[in-house]
Amino acid sequence: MSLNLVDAVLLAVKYATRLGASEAEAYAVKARSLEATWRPSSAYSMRYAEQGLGIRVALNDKRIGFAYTSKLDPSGIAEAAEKAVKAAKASKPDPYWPGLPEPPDSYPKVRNAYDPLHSRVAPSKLYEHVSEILVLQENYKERAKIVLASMECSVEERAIASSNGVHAHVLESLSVLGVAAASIEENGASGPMVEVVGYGKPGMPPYKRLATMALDWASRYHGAKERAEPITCSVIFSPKALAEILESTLVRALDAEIVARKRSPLTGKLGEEIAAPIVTLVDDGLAPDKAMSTPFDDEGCPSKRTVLIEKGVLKSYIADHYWGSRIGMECTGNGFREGTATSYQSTPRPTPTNLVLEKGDASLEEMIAETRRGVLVLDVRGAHTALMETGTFNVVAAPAWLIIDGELKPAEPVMIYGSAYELLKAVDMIGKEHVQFGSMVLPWVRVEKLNVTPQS
Amino acid sequence: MKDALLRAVDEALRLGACFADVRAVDLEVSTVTARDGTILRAHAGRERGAMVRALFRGAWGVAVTTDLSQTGLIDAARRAVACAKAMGGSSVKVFELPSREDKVKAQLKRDPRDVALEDKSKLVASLNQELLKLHPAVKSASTSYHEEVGVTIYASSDGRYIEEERCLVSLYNLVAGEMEGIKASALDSRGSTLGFTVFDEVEDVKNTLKRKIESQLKGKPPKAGSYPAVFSPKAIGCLIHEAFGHLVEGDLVIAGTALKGRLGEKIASDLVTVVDDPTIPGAYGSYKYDDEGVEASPVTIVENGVLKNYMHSRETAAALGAKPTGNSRAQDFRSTPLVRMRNTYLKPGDHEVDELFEGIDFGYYVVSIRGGETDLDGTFQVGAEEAYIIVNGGVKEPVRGLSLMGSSIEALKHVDAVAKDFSLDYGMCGKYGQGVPVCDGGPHVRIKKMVFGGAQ
Repeated sequence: MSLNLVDAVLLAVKYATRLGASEAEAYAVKARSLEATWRPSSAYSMRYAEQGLGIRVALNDKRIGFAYTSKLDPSGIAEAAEKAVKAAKASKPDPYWPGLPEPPDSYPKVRNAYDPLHSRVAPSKLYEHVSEILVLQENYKERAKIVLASMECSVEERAIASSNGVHAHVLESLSVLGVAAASIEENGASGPMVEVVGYGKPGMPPYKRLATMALDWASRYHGAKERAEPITCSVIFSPKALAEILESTLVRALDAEIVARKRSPLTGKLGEEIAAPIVTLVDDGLAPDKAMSTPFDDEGCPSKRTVLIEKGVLKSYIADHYWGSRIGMECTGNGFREGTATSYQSTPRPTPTNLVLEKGDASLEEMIAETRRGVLVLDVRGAHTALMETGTFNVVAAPAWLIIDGELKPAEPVMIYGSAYELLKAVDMIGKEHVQFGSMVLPWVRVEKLNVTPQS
Repeated sequence: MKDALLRAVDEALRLGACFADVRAVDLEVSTVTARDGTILRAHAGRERGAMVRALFRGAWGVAVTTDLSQTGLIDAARRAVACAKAMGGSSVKVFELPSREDKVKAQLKRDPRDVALEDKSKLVASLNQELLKLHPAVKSASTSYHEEVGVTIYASSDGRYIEEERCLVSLYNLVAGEMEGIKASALDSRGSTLGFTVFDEVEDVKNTLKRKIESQLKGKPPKAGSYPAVFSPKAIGCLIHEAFGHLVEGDLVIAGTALKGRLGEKIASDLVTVVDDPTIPGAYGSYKYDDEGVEASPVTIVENGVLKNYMHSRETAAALGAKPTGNSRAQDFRSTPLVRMRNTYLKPGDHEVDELFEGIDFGYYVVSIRGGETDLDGTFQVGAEEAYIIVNGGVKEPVRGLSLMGSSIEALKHVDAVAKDFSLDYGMCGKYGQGVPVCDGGPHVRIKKMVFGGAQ
């Protein structure tokens, strides 16, 4: 018989300390979700349920071990506690171990953390939304089509307890939309995908509006393509394209582990100017109604708003308890485990919540109108091959449009290359609307100068 | 457990499903990680769960559970059917197979469960220490050993019952450092289905990392443009996988890749024969049955330049009038199976390796690739991790930050020499957020015209 999460984490801490752990922390998660997905090759509706518990222990000599189980009855928990202690004995003392986090005085409140609608939604209702998205493509015949439509509602309960007295418990929910559209080109082949993501916290994402947006962009890409000449020009990045480039470079460089291990080019640069003065970047775990907002991280540290870059100046890094202490920083409430439903299978590490680039005042139309020669990039391929250490990226931009005297013309895929860190210094216009992709919350951004060449 | 799985399948049929299957997984998982010679952590856990799928009026209903009791599985079957019924019908068909029962034992050289966790920890710690001494530039090193050992059990309404032991062991090493203001990092990953064999290759791991880090430290920025290139077996394997293989996966073919409807057409140079083979002993992408209980068989995708076959799941085979090829794979029990590659390679030819470099006035020798991405239309980008310039037929100095791009189909038309050597390399392939173990490889191959991007 499975225990409830609060009882399970308390029991796990008790077992682990009884087995000789000088410190013990238990983290448990119970996740369920309902998903409806359509792809040209398949259609399905899925109910998902998973629960599990992870135990992190420290021995007196600072040896650390971790084990997990999906069996939340006393025997499963006892077995995991034994494995955690055994794993610690197979480790070696970590002189830098700062101990487990201390309990805070209180946890902040997060608005709309849980919406009962996400629990109650019926499979038929969810698939009805997906079907409504598919109907929208009728308006784009022979120009654009949907290649993926998916909606998911998930509910997640988390509980944490530790021998230091941390005791936290929360119920959260989220709805997520994923849509991909593609232009239909002359030979019948699909053009590059236009991917759109939307979150509902609370409620459902505005799925029709977002799917229409994806189809509009795909349709705008349909037809004859202009070939770019090698040029250094202004580049307007969509929130998705910019998120791809920054995730492989800047976001990793801000990670306290990468900083502590001196791999980050931002190590030792606090207080230095690393971006254009119009760039302010904040990790905000408490941002109202944002997908990643939560009262505490996966080791029980309270969420907060951390200014990372203020008017171009580096102010802070993203830290969990361990790596924060390694660089003399307080934990910023960013100690999360990998995945959501499977988070019980790993230990916390520095992970962003909502990384918000502060909005500017330009509309996309104004950005385009104010660009004499440039490229508008909706998405990029290959950003994950960028080098975090140097920021060097070489990406294929597609779909992309050439901007000639403020007019958009669909372009053959172009290659854009440069350094993400130089790119940040060259940002000269920032859009006035935010879009969220995973943890990144970004507006459209114009970069004054980047290198562009045709790809063939 | 057999009885519980069969009863769940029966329950789905009783409730109206026309096809149903259950895939249950029970794996012991261990990880040992060392960082910078000071941190050594061991993790242990058990991964247990199942996915039930039910097809009703052409729509899938899916349920995932971590409760593997008979009640848990029957309940999951009921939820799967309810989801399928809620879809209101779609057009999915499943290729049904003759009934079959089989038990497959893993062919291990050494069972990792026979090696104590302490001994694995010692090996990881010692390798990590050695990596720090590999080169004066190295400031940081990560070593991670991972094993998953257990069983996947599959039962379906067409009378299939398959139990297959699975054993995946991998070793990941990363070194990073700086010299004279140049930052560099190098990665080496190995994996095997033969058991505890990855430490047999430690000397090769060290040599590879040393060579890669040196090539980056000494590497000059590459010259962008269109040049001839020679690819190592490792690099051609990655290129074939990333830039070409995904275009012939049945589900993406249906979505509309550039190779849709082109079976029987000449799409590549006569010298190109591409095979996806899951029967290679010990290779990381080898198995006997896929995640839909289908016998895994080799697929000749391209033969002497002619497109011969796509890769299929039960579903895409039924949709495209083909037979399933055993390419249907899921990352774990939580994930729906997708059409995935296994061990994909370009077949060797007649040339000596040295002959490939002859006659190249200026070009690139691409030794390893960091990763890449391809769109449905065949536009690809891959980033080189280790590459050298070729001048007057000789391999000269290394380049840093080289990337390759273009149309994968155009690239394969330009293959003009294929060597007689051959090797396969470990990899993890990502698609729709799921990672599965694969191998890719081939011989040394020359492509007479390729587009390269770089920093100048």
